[in-house]
Amino acid sequence: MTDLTRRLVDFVQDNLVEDGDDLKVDETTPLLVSGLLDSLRTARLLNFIRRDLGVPVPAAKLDPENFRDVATIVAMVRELESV
Amino acid sequence: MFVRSLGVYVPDSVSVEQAVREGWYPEEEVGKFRQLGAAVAGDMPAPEMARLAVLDAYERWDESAPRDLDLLLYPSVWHQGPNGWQPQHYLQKHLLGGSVPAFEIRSGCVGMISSLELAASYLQADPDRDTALVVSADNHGTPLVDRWRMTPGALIGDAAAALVLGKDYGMAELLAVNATVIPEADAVNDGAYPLFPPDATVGRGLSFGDRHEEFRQKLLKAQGTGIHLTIQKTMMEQVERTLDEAGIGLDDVTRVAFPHGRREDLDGQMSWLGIEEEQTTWDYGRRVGHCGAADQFIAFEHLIATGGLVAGDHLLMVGFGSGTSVAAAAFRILSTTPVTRGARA
Repeated sequence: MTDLTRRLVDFVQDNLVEDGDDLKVDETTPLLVSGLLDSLRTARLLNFIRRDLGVPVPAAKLDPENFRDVATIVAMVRELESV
Repeated sequence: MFVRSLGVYVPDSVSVEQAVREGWYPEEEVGKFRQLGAAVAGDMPAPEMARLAVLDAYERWDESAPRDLDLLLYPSVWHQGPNGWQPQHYLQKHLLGGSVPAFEIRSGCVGMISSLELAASYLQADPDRDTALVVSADNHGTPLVDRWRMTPGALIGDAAAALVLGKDYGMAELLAVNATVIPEADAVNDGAYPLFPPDATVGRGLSFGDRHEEFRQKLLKAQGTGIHLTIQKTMMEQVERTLDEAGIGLDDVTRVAFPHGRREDLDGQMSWLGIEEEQTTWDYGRRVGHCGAADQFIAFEHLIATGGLVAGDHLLMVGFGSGTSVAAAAFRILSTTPVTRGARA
């Protein structure tokens, strides 16, 4: 697991999983279908990507396929970093 | 396009403390949702509130009269008066006369922002047209509405706002405005609510809380929460487009006026835009409640009046409404008081 993947998995585990939920997040845990990413949590995740990872996500990238799981988020961040 | 003048009618607020004492508002929600009060108009008809807001705008400007208008648009969200009658007729009778074209606009809580686009386009279509008025008013204090409980986390207030739009000069420049709709996120259509007979005709009350929760559960079951992402993506697109057309960036925006809603929603919106609470209208909004289509405009007037916006500042309005509709508008403040043509000469 790369450092970027680890940071995102840790963020989702610590900030998006409800207290008391024993879900163990990995890079393929579905985020949208499971309801982990509601509007407020998606905003928190974007803030984390913008502030802590230093990669602002433009509106054009806010598609469900980019937020399906941590692996797809990592791919999107890598693509944005390379532009 | 320029803002000639702004006028408001915002009745006194009833505090959350009083609402708790009266048994209208659950005490346990006071700390949880951090709302402070709702503006309550009593038995004043919404069109009369609109008339007072229009007079307020013209008294401040003091250069023209409603009869000189080229267009009146009256967006509203709740029932305005007797069946078979529209509220713009009241303003025509009392202020405009019959020769000014006047229309009620039913476009939900983004109605006032989206009406700016209609009004600006109408003025631009003919060099002889000079000013248009957008006015909105709602008194939600009717049967079928419980302003304290119908939207968990938010309060419903009553208010009117009037904005005179004109060519060439004004106290603020309307730099850009955009509105769109996400039909697949319509909580009524997709919530399978009956369209007929209409709620009001059978005495069915309005509860956004029930409706939205039912819709949310249905969506979650059918397709996960991706629809939230679509709504936020659309908001960001509207903001990006509006700022781009305005020729400014988010860093140039002094204040962002959102609908006066739930704190949780505001937290999300602030995170999406990367702004802080001080840049929003939260502290004003939680004192008056969500006032239909007028929120961003009574907040605009409040900011101007209290030093929250000064010449050179930029105001971004972001609106959400039924549909689900999303709108944004950007203004540059030129003066904190209306400017007259004579003073410019």
